Amino acid sequence: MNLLDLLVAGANVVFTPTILLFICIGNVTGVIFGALPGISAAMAVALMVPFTLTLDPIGSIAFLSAVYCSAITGGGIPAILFKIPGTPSSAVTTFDGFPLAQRGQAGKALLLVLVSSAFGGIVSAFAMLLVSRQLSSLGLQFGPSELFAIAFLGLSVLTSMDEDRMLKTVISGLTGLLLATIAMDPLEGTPRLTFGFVYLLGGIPMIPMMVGMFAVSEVLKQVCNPTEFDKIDGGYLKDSPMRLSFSEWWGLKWTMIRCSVLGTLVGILPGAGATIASFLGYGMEIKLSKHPEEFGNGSLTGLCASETSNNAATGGSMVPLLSLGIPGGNSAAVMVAALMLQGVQVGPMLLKAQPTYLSSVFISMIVTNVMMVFISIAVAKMFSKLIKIPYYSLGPLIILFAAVGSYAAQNNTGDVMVTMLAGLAGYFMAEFKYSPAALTLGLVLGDICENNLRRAVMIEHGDMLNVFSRPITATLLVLCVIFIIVPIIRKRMRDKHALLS
Amino acid sequence: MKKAVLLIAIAFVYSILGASVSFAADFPSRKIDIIVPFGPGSGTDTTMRALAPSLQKVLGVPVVVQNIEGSSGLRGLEYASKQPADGYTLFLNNTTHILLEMQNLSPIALTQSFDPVACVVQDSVLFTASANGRFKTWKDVVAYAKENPGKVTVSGSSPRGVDGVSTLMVAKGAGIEVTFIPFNSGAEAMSAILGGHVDLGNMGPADAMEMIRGGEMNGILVTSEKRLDIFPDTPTTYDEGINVTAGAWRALAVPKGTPPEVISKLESAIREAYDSPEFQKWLKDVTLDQRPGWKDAKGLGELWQSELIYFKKAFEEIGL
Repeated sequence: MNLLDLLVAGANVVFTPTILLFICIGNVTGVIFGALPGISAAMAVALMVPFTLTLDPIGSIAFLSAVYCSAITGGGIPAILFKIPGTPSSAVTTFDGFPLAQRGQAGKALLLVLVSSAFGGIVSAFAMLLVSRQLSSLGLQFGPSELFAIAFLGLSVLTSMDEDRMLKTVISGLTGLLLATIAMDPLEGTPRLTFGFVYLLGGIPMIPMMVGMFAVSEVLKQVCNPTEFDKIDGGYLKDSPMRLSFSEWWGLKWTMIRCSVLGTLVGILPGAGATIASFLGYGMEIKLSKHPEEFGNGSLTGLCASETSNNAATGGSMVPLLSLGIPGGNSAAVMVAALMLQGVQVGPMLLKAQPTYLSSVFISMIVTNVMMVFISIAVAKMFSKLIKIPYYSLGPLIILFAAVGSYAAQNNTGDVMVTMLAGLAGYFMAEFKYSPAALTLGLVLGDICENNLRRAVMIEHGDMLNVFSRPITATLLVLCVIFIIVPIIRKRMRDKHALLS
Repeated sequence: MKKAVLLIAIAFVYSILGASVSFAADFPSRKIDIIVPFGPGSGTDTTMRALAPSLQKVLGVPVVVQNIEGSSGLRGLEYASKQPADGYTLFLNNTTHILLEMQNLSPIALTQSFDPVACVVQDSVLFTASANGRFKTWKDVVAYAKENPGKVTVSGSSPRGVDGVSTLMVAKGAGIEVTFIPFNSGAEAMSAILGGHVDLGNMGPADAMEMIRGGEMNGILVTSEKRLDIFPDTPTTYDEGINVTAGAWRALAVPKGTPPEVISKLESAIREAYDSPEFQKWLKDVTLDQRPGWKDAKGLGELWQSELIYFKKAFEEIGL
């Protein structure tokens, strides 16, 4: 079958009233589930699995990929409006999205998030369609040693996140790495740093931690500095048109393209997904930016990087799923399970026997990414009504949402305690100019970084030189060294200049 | 007023009496929950979701699969143990829970706090090699490993679970030394084999089947008494002179103290659901249940005890 026939076959699957209706419903529920804290994209997909029993397998996967894409996007809405990451992958969106909203530019931020999400999603869908086979074999090149290097590259951004407080940022990041070691040690199968608490065997839960660090701590901050109430009160969306000037769009073109490519690649890697993609995309843009100091203070580039990368990871994670039958992340794993329930054998033979799977998922993703922009605007407007509530009522409501969301993720009261503790910790960290963002970065990358290094060393029987001399690893690590040292030198030089003048 | 109070009192007394007297006879009269202590999409979860419709048909009440995941399967265990022992809460358990019990991580232990009901899946372990790798047969592996002790790498998950223990037991049985590399999930372990980062994989036949059919991997050894129907060319451990069987199982239990009549009712209902054409077809399609999996309550109780002994011995032998 050539590409055109394939696309026609895919379109035949998707452009039927039933599937279109399902995709539409999937979009609405995906965006709303994504926007609700506590429901991750994987969970949104899992919740929709029962509905697929009425569809044929190809229709099911087209529908579920629509839910997946839109849930990742929906997570950005509360991230901007309330600093609550709706899904873990939108934690990075809060860094720049919320400061923009505080400046009264929520509408602008939302529009940018939706358009970059759609852009990332569409680029990755094309990559999936055209070079699936090549991409999946590229993904397999990344063994433990290479994955370690990728994660380390992500961590190397620590020195440039906040150049004026480099030491404190690095301390925060390393604390995150330390927290990531709490769990059942995946390489030894024994508890590590859990102090006998059964709860900690599963590690520090990501959703409660992020909701606490960002949302709860923000409410605490607002309570302690009531002067900022005036700015928050009154609803930003009314006075904030959903518009970006042409030059603003044009200035983001390379960011969008770079982050789409990066996100797609990260999505393919085993064990990495949208969350890691957004952190890496953000880190990459800080490194490449001429104004790294704007990141974290409402930089359009940072916002665009986060949302383009996490949505690009959606297409990426479908690549190993469709071409090899290996799920690239949690959401993909749920899709495999859904297909298995229908008796479909997911593996390398799937596409050889039925290439329509690929093209129908592609068409579905394209339709979703376009449809999603409009649906998300409607949902965002609905959510933004909440902002008109005066802060003395809204603040407690946010805490309530945060608690319910953390509980809902695993029906666990322990998670609510983590949220509240993380909220307190996040408040004091921000107060003493440590960086909650860096801590989250360490927490997210800790597992993939540490355990893959240990695996790589085991595979090479303890020979560190062999671990680091693999071509991809060595290249990435050299980049890391440059990334870590350049900001330090730059700061030294700037301080010297300041001293001389 | 008095009448109303009296009526309520009578109704109350009746309901209590009624509940205790007709409890076993009426069972089940409402929805039954199956607590799966692992996430949606996991092997245990899909097995239960495949079994639930058949079980629902047999019992005539809704059977709902509920995922209570976290803490390596302990959260679900602790949650289920706190549910009333009335047969309305079934707990999915597998090898993991035996291993957790041995490590004394929680005051709740599977064999102490639960009564066995039935086992529905008994799998085996398949060792695979990438089609492009240096090993085509198990004999190649043994020959190479004898020359280069510890150089052969094997991927899998659960270092102290079925994967890690079976790898080391098989290696010991073959008189060779290999290095087991644990990954976070079966999917990551699979990628490592396909990418050539490790030599062999330790996985369930179901997970490997499509890769083998697609020509990406070869099955080189299976830990079972006789060859599997789906891989007739793959030698067993016994063919290779290794006296080891291993494999994951999936079973159902109820909180300790559930009335024996209720347990036997559940047991026969699960047997009927297990035998249903739908579930049997599913088992065959996903190629689970490689060794006859069905065990009744007594058989499952014995399995728990024998697994405790097996792993204790295994841990001592391989020095974990």
